[in-house]
Amino acid sequence: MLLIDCPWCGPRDDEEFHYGGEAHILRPRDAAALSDEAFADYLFMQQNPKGPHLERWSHNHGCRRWFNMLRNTATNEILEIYPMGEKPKTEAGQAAYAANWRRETAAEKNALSGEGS
Amino acid sequence: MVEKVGPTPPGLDPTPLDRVIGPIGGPAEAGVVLSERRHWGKLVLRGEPDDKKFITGATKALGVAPPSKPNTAATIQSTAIIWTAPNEWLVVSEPGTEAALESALESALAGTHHAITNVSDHSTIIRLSGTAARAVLAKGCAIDLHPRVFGVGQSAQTNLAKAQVIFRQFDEMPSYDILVRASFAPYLWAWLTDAGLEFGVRVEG
Amino acid sequence: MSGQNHRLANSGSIDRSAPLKFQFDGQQYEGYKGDTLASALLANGVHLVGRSFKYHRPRGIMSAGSEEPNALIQLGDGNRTDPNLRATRIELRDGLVAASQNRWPCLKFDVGSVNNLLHRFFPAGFYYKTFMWPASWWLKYEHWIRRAAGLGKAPQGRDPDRYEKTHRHCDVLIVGGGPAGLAAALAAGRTGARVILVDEGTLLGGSLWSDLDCTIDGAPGLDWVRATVAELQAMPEVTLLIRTTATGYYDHNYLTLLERITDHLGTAPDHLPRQRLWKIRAKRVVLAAGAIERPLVFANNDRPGIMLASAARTYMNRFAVTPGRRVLVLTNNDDAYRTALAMHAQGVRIAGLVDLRAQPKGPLVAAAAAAGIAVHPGQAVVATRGALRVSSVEIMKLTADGAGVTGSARKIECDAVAMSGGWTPTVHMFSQSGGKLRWSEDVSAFVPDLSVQAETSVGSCNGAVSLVKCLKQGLKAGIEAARATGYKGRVTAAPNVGEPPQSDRRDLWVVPGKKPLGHAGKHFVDFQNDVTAADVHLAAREGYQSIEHLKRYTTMGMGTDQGKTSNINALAIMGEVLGANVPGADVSRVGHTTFRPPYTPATIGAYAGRNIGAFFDPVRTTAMDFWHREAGAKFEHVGQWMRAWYYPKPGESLRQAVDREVKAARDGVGILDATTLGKIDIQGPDAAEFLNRVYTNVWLKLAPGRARYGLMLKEDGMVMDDGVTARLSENRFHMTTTTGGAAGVLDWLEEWRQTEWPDLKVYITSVTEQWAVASICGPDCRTLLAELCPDIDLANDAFPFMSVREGTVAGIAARVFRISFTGELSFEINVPRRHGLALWQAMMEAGEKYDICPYGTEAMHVLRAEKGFIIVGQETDGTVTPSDLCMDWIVSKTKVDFVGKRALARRDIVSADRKRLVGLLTEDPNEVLPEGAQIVEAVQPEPPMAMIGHVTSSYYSPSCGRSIAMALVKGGPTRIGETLSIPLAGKTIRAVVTEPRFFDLDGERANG
Ligand SMILES: [Zn+2]
Repeated sequence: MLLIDCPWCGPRDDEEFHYGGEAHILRPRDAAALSDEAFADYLFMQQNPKGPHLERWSHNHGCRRWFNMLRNTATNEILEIYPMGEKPKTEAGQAAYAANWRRETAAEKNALSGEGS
Repeated sequence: MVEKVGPTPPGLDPTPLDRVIGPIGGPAEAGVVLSERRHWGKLVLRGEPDDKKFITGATKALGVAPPSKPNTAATIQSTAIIWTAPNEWLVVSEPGTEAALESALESALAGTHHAITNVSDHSTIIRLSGTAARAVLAKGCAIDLHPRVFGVGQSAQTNLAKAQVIFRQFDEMPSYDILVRASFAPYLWAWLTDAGLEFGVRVEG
Repeated sequence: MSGQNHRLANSGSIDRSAPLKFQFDGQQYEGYKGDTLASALLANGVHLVGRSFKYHRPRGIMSAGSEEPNALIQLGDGNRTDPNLRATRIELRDGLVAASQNRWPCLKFDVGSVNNLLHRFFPAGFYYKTFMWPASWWLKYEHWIRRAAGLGKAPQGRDPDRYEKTHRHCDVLIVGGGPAGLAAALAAGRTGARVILVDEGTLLGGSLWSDLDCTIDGAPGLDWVRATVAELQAMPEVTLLIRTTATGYYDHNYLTLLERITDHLGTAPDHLPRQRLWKIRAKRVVLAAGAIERPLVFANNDRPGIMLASAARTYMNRFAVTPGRRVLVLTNNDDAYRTALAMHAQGVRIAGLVDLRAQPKGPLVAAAAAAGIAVHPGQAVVATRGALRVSSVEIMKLTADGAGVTGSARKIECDAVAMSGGWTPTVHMFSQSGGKLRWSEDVSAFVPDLSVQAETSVGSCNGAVSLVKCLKQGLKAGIEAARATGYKGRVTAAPNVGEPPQSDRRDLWVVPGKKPLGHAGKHFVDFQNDVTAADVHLAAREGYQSIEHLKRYTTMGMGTDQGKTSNINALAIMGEVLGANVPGADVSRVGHTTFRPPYTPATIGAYAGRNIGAFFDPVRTTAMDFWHREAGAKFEHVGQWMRAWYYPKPGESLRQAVDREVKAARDGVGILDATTLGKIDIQGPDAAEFLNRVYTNVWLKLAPGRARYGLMLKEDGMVMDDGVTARLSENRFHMTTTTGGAAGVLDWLEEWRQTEWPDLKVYITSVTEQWAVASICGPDCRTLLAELCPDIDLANDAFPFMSVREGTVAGIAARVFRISFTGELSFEINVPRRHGLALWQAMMEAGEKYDICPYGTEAMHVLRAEKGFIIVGQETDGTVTPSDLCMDWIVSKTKVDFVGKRALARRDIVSADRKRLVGLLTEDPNEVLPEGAQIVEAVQPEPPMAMIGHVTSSYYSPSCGRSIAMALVKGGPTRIGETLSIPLAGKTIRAVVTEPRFFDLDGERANG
């Protein structure tokens, strides 16, 4: 059983948490402009790597706050925990972020449109 | 089928545990002492901790600042303000005081982004006390309750057996007030009683 | 049998002042307090304790620890019986009743042993090869196999004992209470750290109870043990757990410990648990699990009387029991010399010391020679004799390469054999922790290499062979672990250790026999599963070369001992078969099997703990529950809730009661306990905008005091939940959810608010249990409510359908919603939970003159189905869109966005052949379709048939005077008027497709 360090409540057993899947999947701003295939990249496709994985968790039996986590899916080692809306700060986290095929998808570009980035 | 023990005492409103608790009493040397705190007021207070106006207003109405430190409770007289999230507190006060407290908070917080929700009946409080209270909690609670880690003034929102609870430790005995949702209270009461078996259980009114 | 004829006069740590009587296979014996069942049996000269799994060969006690493969015991009787207990781990107590296993009719004559004579029909993989074909015969074969095999008997009834679980945190957890573990505990404990030391045995000190030839600081090793334990016991933050097995090592230093509390007592006070499962979260773990001696693989090495040399020493030194009177020692290393010398010192005759090494030397060898023990260097045991107990062996000279024997055989009489093939570090816990193992040539076994958790292995489980290394590693790991968790303290200096130095081993993985392998006796590798060296060779020839394949093909390493004595021998033999002479290279190619929890077999009761009976799952009840019970309601489980299902009058069936309840709700006044619906308080200036994004319809312009039905979708467009939400004031809404969806919806709303729309100013709070809800409906319900509610104008214009008012009902402050799930005029009265029962009783009292009728969830289902209202989770299953439900009207076309909007435009979602909601009317109006039944267009003589949909809801409708059903059918409304078939076992029902609405089609009644 994982011991997850809630940024607010401190270390708690994983049964207090809800797993929210891959992190940093941006919701398209103008989804109507996307093809079904491009939208499916956003909706269904997950990275599922063996190794460092950026993912979302919620401490839903505690403070109910969402946060991001970098976890090695092969060893369950937790490498970084950081707030919603922010990018990872560790080297491993940044590498995992950059390596994701999603960074190049039409869905992500759609989500970023108008953000100037 | 129907347990007819312990109906609501005359003149009082029913609680979720009235028909569960059974006879009051038990050995004086029991390691576990259980009681229900009937109908204490409970308000969920929401507001942003970095909003000075909100904090000032809340402090004024409550008489003490809502704690900013996670897993702690501030107390003033018999009222406890329990941190439950970075922008959320549970204010537990004497039975019948919640309405006045709610209006005091509403007027002190006017013009701020806040929310107050009366949840006095959403949960009830089981008081668990005694030399074995920590050992009983540890049977169903995965967080570290060792006095080096969890002491008087501390609180937690976590799982206790198969119920979600909020509890705080309020003396060195140790004693804990455990808030549990009304519909889970009979389960948790029975679970605590059973968990206390090996230490002896006394029920107080 | 004449008493404890193998008990030594002096020595040992048993309590001779406490003799105990016990029974084994019906025979009475005596032992002493401090004995195990195994040591007591041996004291009585009993070696034969079981039959082997496949060949039913007679087997004896092989070890003195939890690795025991043979001596498996059924203990106790009735529902307190326990199979597969190791005699070596059962503490003797007065009146103990034990029985051997896997034999019929009795241990000394076993019918199953015919398998031994037929062994050429039972090669490795026999079951695989024989019984996989033809597949349909498996059930027949299985019945026969199960009867012939099987280890012990499970109790038939409920376990009468109590099992506890507890959580515990510590700074340093030490697994193993031998010298290394004690040293680690001492070093860590002295810093003030929170330490738990766990040992599966009854005495801390481990090997020091057996190795009496060691000294620590000039005194007997046991003096050091006693002093250390006393010091540890005096430390307030140190917990010493004996009779406790570390069973599992999981992620993030989470370990389970299984403590046996009353097993050794026989009878125990009722309030004490039999066992306790400790769930430990340790900041650091020190593994000091020790090592297990390996048997030697020689011909017919499985006769009773043949045991591990270290076990023989333990029986001598700790239990004052000699395994025999003429003991032959067979070894490939120096350690067995210690056993020979210990026995010799106690006057036990050593029949010979057969050493596989050509030229053994060193102090121990010299000591043996000096003691006059006949040492046979460079020799091997090539045969053993004795039916139920070993009676003699034959030895021959080994060839230089050890692959064969030469010369003539010499017979040596003996009644016991002590064998030693070296030591295998107990790496189970380390491996379970995820750590990587490496092959060590030093010990010819796997040792810990890379840790992946906050853990250190010390002592012999780390490959250390000498006592001094064990102590040094333990002390070092203890202080380092304590320091790593923030404690300060001085290093404890290592004591001076006196112990016999040891020289090299000679690994002969298969000790050659007189004939080629498999032709003269069996070379057992895995004693519990009857796997021989020849079986390993056969597996290799047939291509099962990886250790995981070998295990499944031969069953090697399975069973209750999980190969603790056999794994290394098996994979080393496989390594040899695969080629080179360097075992390391080959073994690394073979690999090792996965070590899985539990380390030793564990009672399921301990894992269930107290989560049984009423504690298996909480039962949630409403404030009015007491009334429902008094009224004789039948209940149904809805998730964890107990809801009143129907209220039968004497003699009424479910159908009769529901018909009556439905009629009352339509014609008079009905009352339902609707408390369990989820309720969420939503506040903030952006509350309306927030709802606008999570519901499919529009919310911005809803006026305060009004309510609206809403449908929530997942982002994939599938219906997730529904409910009515009312606007209490400009910035405050009262949302309702389904009973089962309450927690999920709250999480869902928080997720969107925090992760996608953090800018929205809105607070979300669950108030599900703040409110008790009585829902009244029917033509008379307004009149009834008016009597109790003086301060709300209930007139249609003042309080129209889909609105909310606050006022008092029966003197109780209430929120009253005018909404309807029955299609009738209806009010839902919410009061604080403490007043729920009073409200209900007041309604019942005032309603008496209107013949108010309480109705349960069954009538509620019928009422809503007559109206065609869906239930999420019944009409939907996570693959159903609003359009599938023919509810396109609730999906806004004008909103730019809401959760699930884009998905509704996906090709597959707009496809014409999706299943959509329709009504079904059976040709026979009294026929009620089973829910879940599959629907076909045309019935074929036999399956398969093309299924085009299924029945989602089906009831007898008293309002329509016939059965009604809803169904999801391909093509949906385009099929209205068609007749479809529902094939069931033994009959086919035909039904006409209709609109999914059956009563009050223009919807006038709710507006009444
Ligand atoms: Zn938290």
